[in-house]
Amino acid sequence: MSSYSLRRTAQALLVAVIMSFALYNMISLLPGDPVDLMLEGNPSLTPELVAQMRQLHGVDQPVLTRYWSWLNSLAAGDMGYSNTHFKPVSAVLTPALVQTSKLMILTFVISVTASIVLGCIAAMKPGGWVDNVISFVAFACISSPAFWVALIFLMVFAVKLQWVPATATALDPNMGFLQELRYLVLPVLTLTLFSMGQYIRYVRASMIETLNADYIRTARAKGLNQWTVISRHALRNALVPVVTLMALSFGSLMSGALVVETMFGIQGMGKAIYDAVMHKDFNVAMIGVLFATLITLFANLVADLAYGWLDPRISLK
Amino acid sequence: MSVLLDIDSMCVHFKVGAGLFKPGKTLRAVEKVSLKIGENETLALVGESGSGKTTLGRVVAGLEVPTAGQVRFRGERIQSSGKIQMVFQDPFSALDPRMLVGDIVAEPLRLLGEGTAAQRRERVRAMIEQVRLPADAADRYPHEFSGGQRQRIAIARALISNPELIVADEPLSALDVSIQSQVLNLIMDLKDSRKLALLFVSHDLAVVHHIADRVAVLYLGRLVEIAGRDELFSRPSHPYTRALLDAAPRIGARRTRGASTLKGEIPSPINPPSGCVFHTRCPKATDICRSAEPVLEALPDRPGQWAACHFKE
Amino acid sequence: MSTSTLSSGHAAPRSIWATRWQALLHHKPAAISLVVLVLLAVFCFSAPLYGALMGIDPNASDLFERYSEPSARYLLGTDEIGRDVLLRLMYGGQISLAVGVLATLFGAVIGVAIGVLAGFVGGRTDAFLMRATDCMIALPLVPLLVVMAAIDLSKLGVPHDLAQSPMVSFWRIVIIISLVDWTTIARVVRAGTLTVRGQDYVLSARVSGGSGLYNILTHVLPNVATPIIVASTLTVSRVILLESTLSFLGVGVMPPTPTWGNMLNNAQELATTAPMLAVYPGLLIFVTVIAFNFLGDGLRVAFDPRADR
Repeated sequence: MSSYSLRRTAQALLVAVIMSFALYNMISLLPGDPVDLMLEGNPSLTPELVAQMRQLHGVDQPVLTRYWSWLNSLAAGDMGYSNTHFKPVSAVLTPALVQTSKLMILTFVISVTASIVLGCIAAMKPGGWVDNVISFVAFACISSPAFWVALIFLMVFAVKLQWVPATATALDPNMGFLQELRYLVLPVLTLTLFSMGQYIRYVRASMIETLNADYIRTARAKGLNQWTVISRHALRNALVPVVTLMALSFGSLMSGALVVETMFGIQGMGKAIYDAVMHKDFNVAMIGVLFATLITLFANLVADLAYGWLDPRISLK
Repeated sequence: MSVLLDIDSMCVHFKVGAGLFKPGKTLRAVEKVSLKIGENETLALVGESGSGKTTLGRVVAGLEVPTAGQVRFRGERIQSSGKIQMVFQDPFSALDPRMLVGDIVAEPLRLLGEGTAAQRRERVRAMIEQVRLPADAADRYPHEFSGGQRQRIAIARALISNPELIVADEPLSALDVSIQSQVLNLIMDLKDSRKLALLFVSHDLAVVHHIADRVAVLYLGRLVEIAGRDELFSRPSHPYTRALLDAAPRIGARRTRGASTLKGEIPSPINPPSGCVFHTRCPKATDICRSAEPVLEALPDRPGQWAACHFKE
Repeated sequence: MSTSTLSSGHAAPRSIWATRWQALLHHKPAAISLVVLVLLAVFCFSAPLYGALMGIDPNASDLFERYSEPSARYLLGTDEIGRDVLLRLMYGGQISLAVGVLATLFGAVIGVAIGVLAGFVGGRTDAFLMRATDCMIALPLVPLLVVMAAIDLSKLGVPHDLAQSPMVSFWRIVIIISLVDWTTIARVVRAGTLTVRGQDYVLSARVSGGSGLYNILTHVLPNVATPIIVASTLTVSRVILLESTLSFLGVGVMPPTPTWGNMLNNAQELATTAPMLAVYPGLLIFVTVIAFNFLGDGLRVAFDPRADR
């Protein structure tokens, strides 16, 4: 088992390094360069001075050299400076990470619980009308563009009914948790519907398969009713593949988070990345996207290892 | 009778289990096998699963490359010339479900570049008739035929390039018992009319007795005994051969006395036992068997029968 | 399998495709989706006809007619600079569908190549390609695509004017999406290739001298055609969602070229001023995507009689 984990971890590290290099290249290809922003406020700079500044900041060096020095600074703990927020990148992204985490955790808890319940209900009578309704709803959730759903919610609940505030720009970190929740309701609701669509289908499929297993028929033959059968016997086995699948859909959750944060004005990682790319804040963009990528790859790795651990058949390979 | 196929000290080893960052292990499928097949001769290759008989058959057909040793067909390396063809065990995986039967049978001709489209069609028609299938079979799809009929289609495909040697890998095993004799008779008729040499791989001794001129017995990739059919069935020399015959339905001219029991299961070809590989299951095993590998030699009084055993009879 | 199928030799072989087509039509959601998609395509591609008929230029802005109510001339009203919404929806649909189909096509080429390579060659190549595919699947696509879409092409040597043109903005989106969304097809093709590779008819071809390439073209591809079709249909819906999200965020297809996504660019403003205009584009995306999803599901069932419902 441990040789498998070691190999997987080694692969993951390799991928992380390759990804960071690829990302660095892409970010360097964004319009402008770090010197441009400094130039914006100073029209009196001559071309020679500009060239000098470029040289000073190492902007004209080949990509590998710049990447290497960036990597070195990162290893030393220096993530760079944000030139749109005028703060170190860590100071920008840490609170952003906190916001996104709140969003994701709430979404995850609600969507997982709801999907398990609905998936199980649907699996109890496959093909029945309850199943058809739930499956259709799941289908609809996967097929809707997140930003449109967010917009509809915004229009109905925030603008028309005025139940919750429309944007989170007034969100003050010192606010009480309950107050904060008002701002998070719509974003969380949107993201929840978005993830539930996928999860329900996984849970339902997994549960149907488990319920057809022989040991379940034995339990039924013993006279146990549906609910006991499901909760005590079927659930644990049905959930094994589902848990790992949920970890693997982390990436799409991050994608959804970017959209939702931008729509609702939540200062999270997604919005920070988006703003950074739009406003040429290279350092924030680089660290932000790298972080989002690494954390999804990490979730992938954990899921793989957990799957190998939970299912003894895999680890023996 | 000239030698068609000459196998000399052939070994076939596979690397298994290699992945990213992980070295693999060596599977010794065939180990130092030597044998010859003459024109119009039927050599049966007998053994359990894991004996290497399928791998041997594939090397002869040109599907695998030997790791060591030589295989020569009429003195030359094995090439795709249409002179050697193969019939497979599973009639359901032997035919491409997306292709018409006529195209399936014609495929070897197309690959070998023989004939025009019209000539090929004619040869397909003739071949289909020879394997006793209805004339319109060429315009149908494989799924419209039964297992026995599919095997006939596979035989037609194997014969269309006028080969001299056919490798038949358990061609009857997947068929219903009632169909087996029909297909076997077809094979034997075609073999006689076309003067085919046959390398007939099988684990079914009743069939082997019916069709073979000579029989070779494989165990864990090694040739343990080779003899004429009648000699092998009446006076088996190697203890493994005896055990196989005892376990099979009675066919031979003489019953072997006393049941020789085989202990255990066939070992893994990745970690073969030392010395004589059969010693772990042999009722006659002694110290010499555990340490020294026996050589395949002719029996002193029966020159046509060879066995690899320290205590051959 | 009985032998009686051959006794009356006059019936022509029932083509596999005919059987499948029937099975598809039996699957109600898929059949409805097919009709919906055909209607949608007709709707979008009749835009020039409609425009000519009503005498409207889709790009003509008329600031006096901003956000006007639906009328006889502007059946759904006008947008923030006075353009007819209905016509823009039609043209927008053309672009969205075109991106969907093209990006899927290019992605399918990548996916088939990778899947066949992994399945046919096996060993380390397979392990490497599958790891790469797994990583690709796990990645957060939208943040990555945002970066990729914002790349300044003139830094790559493309002349500045060309880099800003709508042609390039369209193809840029097609290419970057196809670079990230080939994974489903790759997996499916690899699985199919592995199955086919283990079949004896491939071995039989090799005995007669069939090379790897021959086997891939003659035996593998026709036998994986059906899973490719199913996977492609499902990919189209994902691509349309990605394109609309990117366009909405302002990094996809650039205005004034309409797509359903970028018609929602100024969402906040629309929410308060003209809420219905925020509904139409998204509704069309939703209908298209769900139709493709149901169609894909139906195809999967029709092509594989053993799939459980």
